[in-house]
Amino acid sequence: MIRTACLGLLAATTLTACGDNVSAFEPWYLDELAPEEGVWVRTPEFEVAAGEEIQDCYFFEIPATAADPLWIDKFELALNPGSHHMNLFRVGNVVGLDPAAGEPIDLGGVRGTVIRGGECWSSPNWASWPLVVNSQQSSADEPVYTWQLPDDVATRFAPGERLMLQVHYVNATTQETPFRGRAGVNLTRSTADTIEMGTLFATQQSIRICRSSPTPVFSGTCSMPEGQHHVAAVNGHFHSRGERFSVYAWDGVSTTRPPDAARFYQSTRWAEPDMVNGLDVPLPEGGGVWWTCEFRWREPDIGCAAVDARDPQMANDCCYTFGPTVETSEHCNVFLYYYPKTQDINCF
Amino acid sequence: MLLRRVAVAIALVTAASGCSDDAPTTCPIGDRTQPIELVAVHWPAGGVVEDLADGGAVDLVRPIQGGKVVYVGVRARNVDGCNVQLTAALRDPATQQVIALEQRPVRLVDGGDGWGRAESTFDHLANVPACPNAAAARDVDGATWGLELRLDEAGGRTATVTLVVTPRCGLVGEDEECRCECDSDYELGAACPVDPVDAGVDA
Repeated sequence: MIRTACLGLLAATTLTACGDNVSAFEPWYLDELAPEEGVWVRTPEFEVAAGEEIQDCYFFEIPATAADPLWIDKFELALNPGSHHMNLFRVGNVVGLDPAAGEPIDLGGVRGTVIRGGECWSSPNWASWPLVVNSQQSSADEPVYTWQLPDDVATRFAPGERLMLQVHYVNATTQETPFRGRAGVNLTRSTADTIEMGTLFATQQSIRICRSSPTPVFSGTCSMPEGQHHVAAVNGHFHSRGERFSVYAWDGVSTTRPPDAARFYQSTRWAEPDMVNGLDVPLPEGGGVWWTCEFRWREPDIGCAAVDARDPQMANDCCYTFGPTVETSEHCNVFLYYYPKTQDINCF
Repeated sequence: MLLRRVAVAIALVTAASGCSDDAPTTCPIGDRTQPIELVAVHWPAGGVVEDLADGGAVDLVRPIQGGKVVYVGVRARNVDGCNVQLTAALRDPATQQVIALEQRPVRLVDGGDGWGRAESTFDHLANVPACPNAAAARDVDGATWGLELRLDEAGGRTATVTLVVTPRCGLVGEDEECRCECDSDYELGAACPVDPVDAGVDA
């Protein structure tokens, strides 16, 4: 109740501020970490104009002076309200998104480069880049997502390893950025953990949500390498036509959806989907995960013309198809964290 | 419970009588009193959708998101072409492990010969994510895998076709990258198109 009242007051303040709403926002704060404590990154603040979607890719390196290797057992991920997502990847094979082509930038605890828009929108550029961590939490009352990894488990980085922090902001009809965009990451050093965390990033290709077939359901699987693995955390990602996102433990043999008892994640919140951590879900050996996205078509606030313009089939059926733009396209992505790591996994 | 049964009964009657705007459109193809018949199809790169023979090759193609998929599906008859779900799975014939699976709604359109065919290519064929593949104990390309294609009608009728296929790289501009990503020794993030040193068979 107190929280509701505070938000109400905040909204009223914003409305009466005649456009100067930056002053109404109390910024989040993360500690600046000394080198022996870990690595910290802060993007500058940036304007997200009405009607805009912004996606920027910030590149930096794990400091080469860090102990070899650097183990991290706590993530703190902070976002001003309005963010659609923040993803941290390890830079792999460089195709069209070259860190060296970016503009030099001061990122607080590290220096790096930034590529604003352009190739930062093109997903094949990071198709082979392993996921490190992600956050979709950017509410005004909970701008910081803190994740203490399970006991004895940590994420490992090599000194000098290149990372890419991708930040997506929306200030349009489906999501709003009431203040200014900004992201921060703290990677807190672990000294005692010995089990490595692995990641799994999976996405459904060529999805299609059309006026004439308004409730499609898409499912996929992602098989794990040999060995016994435990899921530590998971979150799903789709846009505003997404109604239910479910992830199940899967035996690796069946071709039908696993029973409800095998489901360890379900979210119906597209804009701020739950990141479920604290899990310890053993996956069947030789198996993996099964995920399902249930969609419901809705009339786009900006009209069908912009949606139709993106449709490769040019069906003129107001079909939302695969793509990163929240207003006009859809996703069906799984972000999953498991241990012990065999290798990082992408399924798409 | 009683209320629920009544609601379900009303829904069934409404759907059967076609009086609701929510009633699904049906698109019967052939004789739906007969079992559903399926023929496997694939979409060769640069070509048109065609029948897929048992033992045939399927192209590995880089789709919009990246990675490598095979585009496979079915043509079918005695089916409701507007309300079907396609499941496609690549299975290791030695272990029965499914290394890749995709399930999606598809729309089949009567081609004039009594067979329903995919209305479009990318969206009404399965995009089976074959590479990279952390679960594959051998290279995905150049090896034989079981391909299972199942069509499920909304009412519960179903049919399956199973065959053996050989995924293949070879597209101009993608060949080396494809062989690299489809190698059983490939590790995500490694530079391609260098084909990893292979401990197994490298086709």
